[in-house]
Amino acid sequence: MKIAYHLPDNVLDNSEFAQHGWSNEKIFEKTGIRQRRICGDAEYALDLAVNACEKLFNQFPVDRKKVDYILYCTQSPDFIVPSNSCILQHRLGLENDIGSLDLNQGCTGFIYGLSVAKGLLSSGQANKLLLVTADTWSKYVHEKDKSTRSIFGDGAAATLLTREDSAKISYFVFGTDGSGADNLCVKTSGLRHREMRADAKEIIDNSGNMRTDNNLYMNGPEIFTFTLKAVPKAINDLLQKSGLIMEDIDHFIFHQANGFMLEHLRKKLNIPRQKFHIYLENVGNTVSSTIPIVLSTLQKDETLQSGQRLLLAGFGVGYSWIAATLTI
Amino acid sequence: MTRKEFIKQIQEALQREEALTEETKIQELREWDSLTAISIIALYDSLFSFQISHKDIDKFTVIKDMVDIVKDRLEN
Repeated sequence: MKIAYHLPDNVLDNSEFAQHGWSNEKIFEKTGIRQRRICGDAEYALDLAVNACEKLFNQFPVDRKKVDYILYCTQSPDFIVPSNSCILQHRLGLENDIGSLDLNQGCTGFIYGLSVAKGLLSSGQANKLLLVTADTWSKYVHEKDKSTRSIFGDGAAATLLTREDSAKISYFVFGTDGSGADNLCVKTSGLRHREMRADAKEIIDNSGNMRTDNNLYMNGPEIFTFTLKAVPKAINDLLQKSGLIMEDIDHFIFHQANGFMLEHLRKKLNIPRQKFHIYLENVGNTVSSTIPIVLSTLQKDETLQSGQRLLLAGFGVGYSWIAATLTI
Repeated sequence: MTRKEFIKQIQEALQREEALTEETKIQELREWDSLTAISIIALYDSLFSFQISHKDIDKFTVIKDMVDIVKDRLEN
């Protein structure tokens, strides 16, 4: 599995929030984040995606003419119509006789991508598949909503998967509960509430955060409660399905939602610190790209060794959750 | 764990120096915001394996309410 990622240049650091009553250290202690990267006004998810893919083609001996399928996962698309994966094919100069498909998932997007990729590769429908995750949630965030602005960063990752890679992806467990949809959403993001966009009013919540229905809304405490209920069970179910025990796993890589939440989950699941990776201090929560960013970082510093067993878990917007075991 | 010990744990989760009593009003805690709400959820989960919901938290008016919700798991 070959992975590269790209982050935009603009840095938003914790000092930005001091005037709203949150000190640098308080934010770091409660989120694990010191800075996030934010797109420029004219920079969108597909631009980040193109950069991530070009880095992949430069860093690895990958012939772009051999890519025969693109999976593009985003919840901050440049366009609803047409499919962004078609535009990506063109911008990357890939062949025309290839498949392309957009996936709409957030925090579970990368692992969902692996799931779909495994199906396509193992059934012979694709041989060299480019899984691209790209999100720019900063564009949804109200500039006076520190609850979301302190968490989310923009970024994209490109992962090349072959049939050999797909054979190393072992088991999945899935979870879906749409009753939690309103706890993490942009109400007017699609067609259903489009008539509300023009006169969406600014409202201030109990913590002094401002937003409109055109912005991202996150009920952080409720998302945390959902995570505590869903993730440990998913991991136990996955281990059982895989015929493994916790000690068989060399690395646990979870969606990098928030450092405090991750550390709590780690302790709750009794995962040794050295096997549990937290990497969001300088990138924030990049939604669909958090897991490939961690994987790429661990590959580069040679923490991941061939033959090791990984457990990945994603959870969040939807609600949607997913976990997978694989060998690297 | 006694009620008093749990109240001490709440105080620590809020990173508050002044002691809390059962009568302390939640609204008057300047430490209380969405980040501390997450610390409180983590506290219930760690101590009691109990996943408190945001709706429960919204109903709290005084510290006593926070203790009463787990009173079956506490000594007097």
